Amino acid sequence: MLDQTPLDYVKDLPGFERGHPHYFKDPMIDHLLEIVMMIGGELWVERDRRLIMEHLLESKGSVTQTMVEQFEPDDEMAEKLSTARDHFTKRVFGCLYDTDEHTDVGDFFNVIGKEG
Amino acid sequence: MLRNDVIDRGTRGQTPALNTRADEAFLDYISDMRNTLMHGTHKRVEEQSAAALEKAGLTENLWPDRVYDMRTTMTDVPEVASWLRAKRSLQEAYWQTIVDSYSSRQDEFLHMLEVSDSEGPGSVHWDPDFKYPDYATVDIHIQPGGYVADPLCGLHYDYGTKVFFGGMNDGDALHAKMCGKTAIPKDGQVNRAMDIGCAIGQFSCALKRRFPDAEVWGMDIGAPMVRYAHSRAAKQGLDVNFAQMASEKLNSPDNHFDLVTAHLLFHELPEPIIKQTIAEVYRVLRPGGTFVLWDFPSDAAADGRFSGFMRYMDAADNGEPYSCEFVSCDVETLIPQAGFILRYDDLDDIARHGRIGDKPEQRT
Repeated sequence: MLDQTPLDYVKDLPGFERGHPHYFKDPMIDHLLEIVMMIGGELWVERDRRLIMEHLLESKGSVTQTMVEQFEPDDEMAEKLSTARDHFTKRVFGCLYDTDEHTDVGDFFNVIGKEG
Repeated sequence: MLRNDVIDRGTRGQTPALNTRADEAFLDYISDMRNTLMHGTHKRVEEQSAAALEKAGLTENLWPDRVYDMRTTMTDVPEVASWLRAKRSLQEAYWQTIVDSYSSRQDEFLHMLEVSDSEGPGSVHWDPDFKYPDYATVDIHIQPGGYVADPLCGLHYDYGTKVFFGGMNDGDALHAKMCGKTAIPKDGQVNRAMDIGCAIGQFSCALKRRFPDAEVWGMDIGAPMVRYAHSRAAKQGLDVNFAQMASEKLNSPDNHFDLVTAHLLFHELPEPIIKQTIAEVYRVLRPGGTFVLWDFPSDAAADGRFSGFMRYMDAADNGEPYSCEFVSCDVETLIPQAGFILRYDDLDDIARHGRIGDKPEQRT
């Protein structure tokens, strides 16, 4: 066993324990924001399922639970789902979104492996 | 959400599909939300944070003494507090969804690992009695159980990073890209390569694809990680060897490897372990061998106060407890102190090529 000194300060960090960090003076605002985001997720799950069921009904004439669970969208359907999801999140959360200028996750790798 | 334990949903690339379409759709949403609420609002949050810090007179010498003042000042800005709330909630949500979704097939996945342990191509070596040092037992990235405690944490990590990268790393594309940029010894010889802190072996596999005739090893402190890494590599037909080892105590001979890589490992290590790891890498590299470290820029290269604050918040709230130590430890000095010749010392070159340490032909 390696003999390392326990790093107690890690356990003092405010976010060490799940559910502890609050960013607003009133933690209820944290809770409400989280609830809204999670409700959004549950709504999208239902919409995703409906879009798949409609697609299967149109293309196969029937739909079963197994067909939905094993459904793998082709490129066209994947794009349709992605676009619908993008519209959904922007419509619901657009007031927080900066449409003028934004980064994306790809910038992460430009930080540690800059092009050029 | 609907649960169904019997329907085979196949794989998504190299990754087993989640248990239900509902779970998969939920994580697609989380991934999009990360882009919308985090990346999409980053600029505005950065500007408002800078203004708040300026107004509060928090302009220099902030780390480590005044980080709590920074936290208070910046979370007084509603947009910043919302940004941090979204980041934390989405991070917790995707890990929990992944763990819950796979849990009903736990026995199946554990059996898969047991079978894979003794099958090739490649191999895996791990110790069921391995004693983990304390520093390795935190929930890195707030992944439940971190990289060591849950026997399926490699599987969880696989899908979790898929969400983190918003699909951009599907097929391990980003690892392949970074591996393609990785420097090699000046004599061009790569017969043995080792990837330390390999996690689920994405960079190790990229090394094998780049150097198909080389003996490639992936090392990680987490047994669940190397077991899953081996299973994942073997499914791709790649002859990569994986072993459970702490990076500061490599069970490898002296002067053995031509190339050692560390891709996004060092910011997960406390500074004393960083120093020990560099010394170990020096020991196992042959004279003329090369060490390539890909990781966050050092503090001197940080692009302003906001980035420093965000690094602190990542350390505090996103299970990156040692990242502040890493960016402030001046690793560009530690590498030559261990005996390496640093190929680039300009920060812009380092951003492009990583930190590259060549072990001299004769020790200086």
